[in-house]
Amino acid sequence: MEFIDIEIFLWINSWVGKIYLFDEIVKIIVSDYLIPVGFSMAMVGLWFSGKTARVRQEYQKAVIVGVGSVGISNLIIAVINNFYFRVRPFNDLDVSLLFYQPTDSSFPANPVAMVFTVAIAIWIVNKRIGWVLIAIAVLFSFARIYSGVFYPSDILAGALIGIFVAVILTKVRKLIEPVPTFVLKLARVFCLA
Amino acid sequence: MSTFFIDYLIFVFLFALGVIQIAASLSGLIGILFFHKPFFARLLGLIMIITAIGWFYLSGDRNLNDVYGGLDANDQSSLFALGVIAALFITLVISSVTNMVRLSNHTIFSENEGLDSLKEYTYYVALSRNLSYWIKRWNL
Repeated sequence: MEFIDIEIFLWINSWVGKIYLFDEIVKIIVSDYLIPVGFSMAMVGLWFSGKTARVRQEYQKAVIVGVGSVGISNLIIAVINNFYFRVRPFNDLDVSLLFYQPTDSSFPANPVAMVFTVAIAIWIVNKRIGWVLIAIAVLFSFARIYSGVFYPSDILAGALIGIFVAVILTKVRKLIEPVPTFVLKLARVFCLA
Repeated sequence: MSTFFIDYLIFVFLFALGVIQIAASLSGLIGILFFHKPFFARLLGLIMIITAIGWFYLSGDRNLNDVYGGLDANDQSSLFALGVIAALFITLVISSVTNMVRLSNHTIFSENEGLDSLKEYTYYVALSRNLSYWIKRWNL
């Protein structure tokens, strides 16, 4: 299984350097800032979206679930990293690197978990924006493999954690309904929800 | 504080300003728009987002490890929150001033409508009326 993981990684990474412009675009996509900030901004935008108060309230609850899901995903990954540390591909293999050399564990991919968590939390309430975000999350994930910082299995694990946490937290939202309801009521006093 | 900190903060601030303008114009929250016409608010929002991304990535190498001047996850999230709060605050202040005359002729006010009150009022008017409603309700 690990052999297949490495083979897929090496095949994808072998394309680096063949098309200069593509590499330059990947360097921007793969950065720590553009996609993660863009996804966080999608949640900011969603907070103010919705033609009716009812729709907006659903969006705002999804934003609260999204923020909570990101926190829980990070927690799960931190716990996994305490028990299992996987070195990055560039530590073991001859890799063409388009990114700096991170020092944290490769498995599971933390930034990928974050983007998938947000994408799914939004997809649950707004399919149109959700599909766009999922497509961008897939592109971001591919860019992370292409640029030499993650194995495909790291990406897969990160994505599954993100999706799982967002779905579960949305499902159990009813149990913690007083929390988002209280947050929204408080924000409504200040005309912010 | 490194220039990367400030650059990131400005990036988030401009990005958030643009996103708020676009989202508010699409949902009819005219009380927090900088322009009377939603189309111009959307255009301004788009320009702000493109400017933020373009300036941030063209003004330096952004693929930096936090050990070599980049931002770690904690700094990123704190600065993100700060940038968004600053953008929201500036949006509410500027839009309250620029829309003061245009949205001052409404007299009927539905209390505790939250964001929906910004479809007819500036944030300043909506907030002051909403707060007085709550103060009365809680007998403060």
